[in-house]
Amino acid sequence: MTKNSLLKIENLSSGYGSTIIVNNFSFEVNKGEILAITGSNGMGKTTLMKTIMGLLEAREGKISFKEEDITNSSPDYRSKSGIGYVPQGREIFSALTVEQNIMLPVYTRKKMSFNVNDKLEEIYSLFPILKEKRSANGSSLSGGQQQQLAIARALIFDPEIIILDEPAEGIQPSIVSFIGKILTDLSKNLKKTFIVVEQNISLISQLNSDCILVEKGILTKKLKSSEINTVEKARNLLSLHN
Amino acid sequence: MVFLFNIFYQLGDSLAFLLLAAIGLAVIFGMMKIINLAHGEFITVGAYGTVVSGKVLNLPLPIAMAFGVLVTVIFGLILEKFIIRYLYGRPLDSVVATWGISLIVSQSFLVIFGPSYEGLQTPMGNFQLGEFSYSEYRIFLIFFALFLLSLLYYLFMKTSFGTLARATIENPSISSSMGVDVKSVYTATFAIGAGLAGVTGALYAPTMTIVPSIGQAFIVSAFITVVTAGASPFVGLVPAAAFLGTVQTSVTFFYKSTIGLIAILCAVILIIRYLPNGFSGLILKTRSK
Repeated sequence: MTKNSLLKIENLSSGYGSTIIVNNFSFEVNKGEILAITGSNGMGKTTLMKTIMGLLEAREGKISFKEEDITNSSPDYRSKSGIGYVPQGREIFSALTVEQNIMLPVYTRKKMSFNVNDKLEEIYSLFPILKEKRSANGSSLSGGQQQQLAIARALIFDPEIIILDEPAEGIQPSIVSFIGKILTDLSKNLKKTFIVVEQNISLISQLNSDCILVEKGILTKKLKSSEINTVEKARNLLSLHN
Repeated sequence: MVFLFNIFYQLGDSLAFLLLAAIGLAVIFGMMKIINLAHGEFITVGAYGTVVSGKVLNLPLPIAMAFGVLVTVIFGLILEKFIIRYLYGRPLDSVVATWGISLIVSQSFLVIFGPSYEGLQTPMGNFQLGEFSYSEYRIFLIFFALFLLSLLYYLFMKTSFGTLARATIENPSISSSMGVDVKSVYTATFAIGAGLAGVTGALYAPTMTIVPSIGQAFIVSAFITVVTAGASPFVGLVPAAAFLGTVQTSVTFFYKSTIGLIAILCAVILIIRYLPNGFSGLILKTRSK
C-alpha cells in the first residue's frame, strides 16, 4: 500500500450464485484522487462497487480501507468507516422527504465531528434545487434532481471516499456537466476522493482523472488522465460498445 | 341530545376498538409486511400479563398494565430474534410461521391458566344520561386510542428513528450502505408493534372475560382495519376505523351485532374493490393534486 493509499483492492472476485462476475480485480485509490472505472453494460462494474460496499460477498481477495481489512465487514460498518455510496439508479427513499433522505446517514451516527446544520447548508449551497424542494417527497423529483439528492446524501457525513455508480445514467447533459464540475471542485478544493463508475465519455473526460477499463469482470486497461482528457481521445481509447 | 350522545358513544367505542385492535398490526403488517397471524396472541399476552400481575402480585391497575406491555415486548423480542428475523421479505412463509406461533401460544395459555381466568374490575365508574348508563373507562379508551395513534404517527413520521425505520423497510440494503444497522432497526420496530398489541391487551383486559382465545376477538378487526387503511397505515388508520365503525354501529343499531359484522366485511370488500390502495392511498393522492 502506498503512503497516500486510501482504498486498496487486491485480487478481488465476486458474483451471484455460482456465477463469478468480477474476477481477480486489483486497484488502488489515493487520497484526493478521482478514479474513473468504465466498461460496457454487464461487464461487472456495479458488481465490483457492490462488493466494495459489502452488499455482495467477496469470494476471494482483500479490500483494505485506511489500511484496515474490511473484506468481511458489514455495509453499515464500511459506511461509518468513511465510505460514501451513490448507487446505480440513485435508490432514493420514496417514503422520505428530500431533507430526510439527505439526513439519513447522520441519524445512524451517534455524533459527528462537525456541525450538521452548517454541513446541510453547505450542501444546499452546492445543490440549491434541493433546498427549494427540501419538504417534497423524494420520489417527486426528476432524474437529475434525484441524482443530486443521492450525491448530497453521500456528502452529508463528510466521508473520505465516495463511490458513484453511473451518476450520468438517464440525466440530461447540462446536469451531467454540473455534477462533473461539483466532483472536480470537491476533489481540487477539499481533497475529496472519488471512484466514479461511468460510461458517459464526456463526464469521464471532464473528470480529468485516471481511468480503468473493465471487460468481462477483468481489468483490461489502465489509462492516465492525460490520455483521455478530451472526448475524442477517451472515445478512441476506451472503445465502449454502447 | 341523549340520542345523539348515545350514537357518538357507540361510534366512539367501535372506533376505539378498531384502532386499538389494529395499532400493533399497523406496524408489523402495515409497515414491515409481516402477515402476523399471531397478532391476537400478542394481545392475549398483554391481557394475561396485566391480569395475572394484577391478581398475583396485587399491583395497581396502571402498573399491572405496564407490566403486561413489558411482557409482550419481551415476548416479541424473543420471537423476532429466533423466528421472525428469518422471515423478512418472505410474506407467505411468515403466514405459516406466525399461524404456528398462534396455535402454540393459545394452547400453552390453555394448559397453564385453564379455560378462563378471573378478570379485573373495570376501572373508573359509570354515569347516567337519560335512561342510559355509560362507562367512563370506554370514553377514556376512545381518547387514549387517538392519543396513541398520534404518538405513533409522531414516532414514525417526525423522529430520526422513524426515518431510519421507514428507509430500512423500503430498501434494507441501500439503508445499510448509508450506515443503518438494519437488524437493530427491524428488531426495535417489531418490538414496538408487539408492545402496541400488548397495550391493546392490557387496556381491554379489565373489560373482557379472560380466556386463552381473547386475542381472537381482535384479529379480524385488526386485519380489515389495516387493509382498509392502505399502504401508509398511520395516515389511513383513523379514516378506516371511522368508516368501518360507522358502518358497524349504524347497522348494529337497526339490526343486531351479527348483521353489523357482516356489513363491515361487505364494506371492506367494496373498499378493496374501489380503493385498492385503501384510505391512505386516497388521502395521499388528493394531497398531491
